[in-house]
Amino acid sequence: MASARGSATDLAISVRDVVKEFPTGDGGVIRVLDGVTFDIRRGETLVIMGGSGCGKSTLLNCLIGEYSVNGGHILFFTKNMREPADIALMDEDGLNELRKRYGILFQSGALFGSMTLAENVALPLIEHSYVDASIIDIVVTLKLQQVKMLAHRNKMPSQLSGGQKKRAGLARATALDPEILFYDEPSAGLDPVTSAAIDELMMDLSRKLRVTSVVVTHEMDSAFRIADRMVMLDKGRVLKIGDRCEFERIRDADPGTLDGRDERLMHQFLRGASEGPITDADGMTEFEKLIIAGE
Amino acid sequence: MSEIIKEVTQDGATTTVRLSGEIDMHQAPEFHKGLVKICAGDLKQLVLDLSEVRYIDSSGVGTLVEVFRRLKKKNQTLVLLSPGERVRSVLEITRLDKFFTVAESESEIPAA
Ligand SMILES: Nc1ncnc2c1ncn2[C@@H]1O[C@H](COP(=O)(O)OP(=O)(O)OP(=O)(O)O)[C@@H](O)[C@H]1O
Ligand SMILES: [Mg+2]
Repeated sequence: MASARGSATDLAISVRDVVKEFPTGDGGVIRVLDGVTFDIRRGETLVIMGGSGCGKSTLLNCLIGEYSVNGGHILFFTKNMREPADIALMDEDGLNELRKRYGILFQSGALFGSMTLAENVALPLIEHSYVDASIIDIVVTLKLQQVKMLAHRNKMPSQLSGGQKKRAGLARATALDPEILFYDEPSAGLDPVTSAAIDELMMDLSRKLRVTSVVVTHEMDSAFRIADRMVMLDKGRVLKIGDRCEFERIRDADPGTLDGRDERLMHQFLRGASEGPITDADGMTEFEKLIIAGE
Repeated sequence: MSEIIKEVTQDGATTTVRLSGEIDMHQAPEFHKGLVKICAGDLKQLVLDLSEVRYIDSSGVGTLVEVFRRLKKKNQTLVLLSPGERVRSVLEITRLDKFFTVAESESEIPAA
């Protein structure tokens, strides 16, 4: 169990002062992540939240090595590796080795349209493992059983509903028994019942197989159901990271008792209310810039 | 022996294989070959002692299923002895605990 102080071995990923900028097209840059620092603990489910455009997907892409960072470090503490590996310093070979150790569930499920569900799940196994084809078949069956999609194994992705695609994507993401699973909006576009079923599945994987889970989500019901800890981003920075119960306190508090703008902003966000600091200044500065400065 | 297969003992029609370590996708191919060889011998029942197995991944579990099928064809049985908590939850999440014979201790092993 993680000790209160936390030693290096309790960590799965350590994000240190990460900066990410994109070119704006007019020669300038937009700084999307502005010194992001937090830790992801081994075995926990960490939910990343924040308003639209605050940098959640960008952060996820940096974590999986899809985007290179402009500053800071992302350290992976993987099993059987004595030293943490900084993905900012990794070459393509190193990244490929790391990619075998984590799985990603993209919004669409990211299945190959020209292959059946079973073939989609088998693909990473064929690419990265050395076991016999007969054993790969068995593993595919086990993975599809885990997500309750065995009956659909011979269907093509286009024949599946959104929720089924998510399940199938999860079977594929877990094909190589990853140490870490990244989820980008796993319940977006799903009805509440289907969304709750996906949550159950995620919790099952995390509790029974001790997979570390990093989840970007907008769905607050889902977030509070699955999270051990939560991190709130705002304008490319970490506003708060803490246990789920700390966020529950802010959500359920009487607004008058909240401490400062940050807590009021989080209260509004967590309750999904339209009134509060989120609507105050955010669009205005940009609006002001365009109107007044004519930029 | 091998990284995983530590000891093979024969007692009448029962062959017991003591396993140890982490059965992952790197170990699984050799583990599979080793078990296939043992299965080819003269036995009625194969007991896999899992008490020292700290971790098993899907390719390891897949190997167990393949060996289970192989034995079943020849009317031989497979018994999983003393799986630890970690191995047990992998079997549970895939519902394989419903198909495999799992013995908590040697006294629970059915007669061959
Ligand atoms: N490839 C890119 N090039 C330029 N700007 C980008 C790029 N990707 C993202 N951005 C900008 O970075 C900011 C953060 O985008 P990001 O997609 O990370 O937000 P998000 O928090 O995931 O939002 P949402 O909740 O709407 O998905 C946005 O202002 C976006 O326009
Ligand atoms: Mg996004």
